Amino acid sequence: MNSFLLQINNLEVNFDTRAGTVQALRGVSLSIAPGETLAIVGESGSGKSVTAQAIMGLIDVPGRISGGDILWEGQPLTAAKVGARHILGKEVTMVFQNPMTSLNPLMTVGAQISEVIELHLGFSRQAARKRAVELLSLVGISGPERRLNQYPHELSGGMRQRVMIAMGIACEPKLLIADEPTTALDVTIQAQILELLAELRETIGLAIILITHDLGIVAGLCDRVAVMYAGQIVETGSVYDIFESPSHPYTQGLIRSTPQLDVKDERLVSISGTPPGLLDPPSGCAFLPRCPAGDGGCDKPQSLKAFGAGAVACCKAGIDAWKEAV
Amino acid sequence: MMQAPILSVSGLAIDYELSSGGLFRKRRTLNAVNDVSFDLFPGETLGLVGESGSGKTTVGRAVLRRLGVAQGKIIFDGKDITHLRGEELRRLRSRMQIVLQDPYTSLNPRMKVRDIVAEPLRVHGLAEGSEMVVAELLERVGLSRDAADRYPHSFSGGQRQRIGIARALALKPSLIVADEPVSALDVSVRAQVVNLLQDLQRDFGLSYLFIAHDLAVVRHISHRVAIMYAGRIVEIAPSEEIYNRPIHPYTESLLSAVPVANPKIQRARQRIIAPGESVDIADPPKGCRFHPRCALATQRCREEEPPLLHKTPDHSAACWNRPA
Repeated sequence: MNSFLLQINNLEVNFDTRAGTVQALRGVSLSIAPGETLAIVGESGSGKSVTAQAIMGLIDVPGRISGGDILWEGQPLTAAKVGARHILGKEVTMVFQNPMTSLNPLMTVGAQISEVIELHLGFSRQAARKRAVELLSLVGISGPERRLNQYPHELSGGMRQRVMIAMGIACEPKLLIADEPTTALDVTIQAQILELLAELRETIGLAIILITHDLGIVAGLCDRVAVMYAGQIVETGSVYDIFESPSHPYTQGLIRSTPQLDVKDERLVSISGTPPGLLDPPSGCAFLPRCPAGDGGCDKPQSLKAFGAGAVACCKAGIDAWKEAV
Repeated sequence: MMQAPILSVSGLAIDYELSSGGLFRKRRTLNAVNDVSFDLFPGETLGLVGESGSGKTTVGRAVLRRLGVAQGKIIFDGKDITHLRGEELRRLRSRMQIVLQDPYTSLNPRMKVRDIVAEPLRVHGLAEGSEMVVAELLERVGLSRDAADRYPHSFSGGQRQRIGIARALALKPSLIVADEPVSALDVSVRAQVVNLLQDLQRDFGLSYLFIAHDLAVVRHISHRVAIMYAGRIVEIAPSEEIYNRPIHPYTESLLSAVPVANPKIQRARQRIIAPGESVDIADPPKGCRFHPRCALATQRCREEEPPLLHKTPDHSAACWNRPA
């Protein structure tokens, strides 16, 4: 078990709001090995970004981690620990969805990258600048010396995301968490960014947690997939198993409701209804109201259990839930 | 589909005026769209695809006469509407409607759903008996009748998009311009709205100009697809044709960049790389606008702009180097 880079056990995150307590994460467990690429897939509000924020120690009032633990190379990792700063931002880094709002508009690109290197690696200003040039060319930005003196608004969206990735890998992290890194970008630029991530995985042995709702990206880049629904992981498995024989009715529905570029199907499976609110989540299966295979047995709590080569949180795991739903 | 087109656009050009930068400086204009021509037939969906800045939204807005047209003609139902004004334009607007991308900002948060859906009826003097019409519309788009008494904030994204669609349907239009109608929605909800749009088309014989950047959704919903690059249509063909036998090098590169949701297939695919980034349309290159990124570019491409020509009877592309 110690071979894991990161392990999350039974993590619970609550947000205290005026309307009550929103249970954003309801017992999430996952792990990632060195050099592995894990996809976290789910709809908005399913808890995928909150998971990333919890790892990075970014859960702040009104949110709180109310249960479970996060282990980094076997050691507890919480933002309160003095040692956490040496890990977060250095060995574990994060790239956000919108590069325009995550870069400082008043600082040059060079200053922002150098800041990270000076802070975490103790480089001198000059050495940091030199390293920044190397990083920019590593992420495929042409004329890196010139770019260092430019401000974020002078760069295109794809270029800005590359700068974010350059900052993310500046300290040669072991794990990069990318939260919808290409959602704001055009497809051709998206393809370039994904190729860059795949390349970094090969060259520096980077482990990646990729948070996305785009199943195409998952299919191309990831080794393993965790599917989230209503603050819980409902299925995990290898990317091949998840796409070829999804076992949870939600995963099945998700895959069959996605139009395919390579096949023309007449009608998409449509999952009726919407995810439950997390102010007062159901105690049984959260997917039950939308599940075509659900019955009276589904209102008891569902937990992730080994199924096939993966794990599924469903008492009907493996049945073809959408057989008659088209 | 040998009937007359419901919408016929020819040689459309649209300019945006850029800020002049000073009292005595010459005004600069940005040519956002140039020489765009296409037909849309009754009951048909034409997908309009391109990357950001390619001009697809501009074309949609021009068709709805929300933008001034610099050149070209827009024929709607046999009538030239390019320069319609006043009462005539107002009447025309009841026959073409828009569905917008963001269901959160496109509905007035202070109006009840009843009033949102009935507003077009009221504007066109059809308020009488609108109560029944609204109830029927809401039911038709899959909402309950009592949704009428609630405000938009109590609905989810997918339900709001249904409200937007009900509103667009209120005046029984023949044409709906749908500008990224499902891109803001979650995957499972997206399929619901796509299916709804298809059902409504079948039931009411609607024509859709479906503007989107998601090529998989466009393939699914469109009968024909037009690909735009830097303000031009570079290729137009039936959807199966364009996805199976793309002609223009830009289309090839675009399609190859879209990930397929199947790990075995996706990992075996080869991307056709068009180096560099999309052109700056304020300062477009001479000749074919795609030539700086194109592997096939020759001297001719650098000098002369290729026209959109029929390569087969129903497949047109604008490329010097790709004969039929």
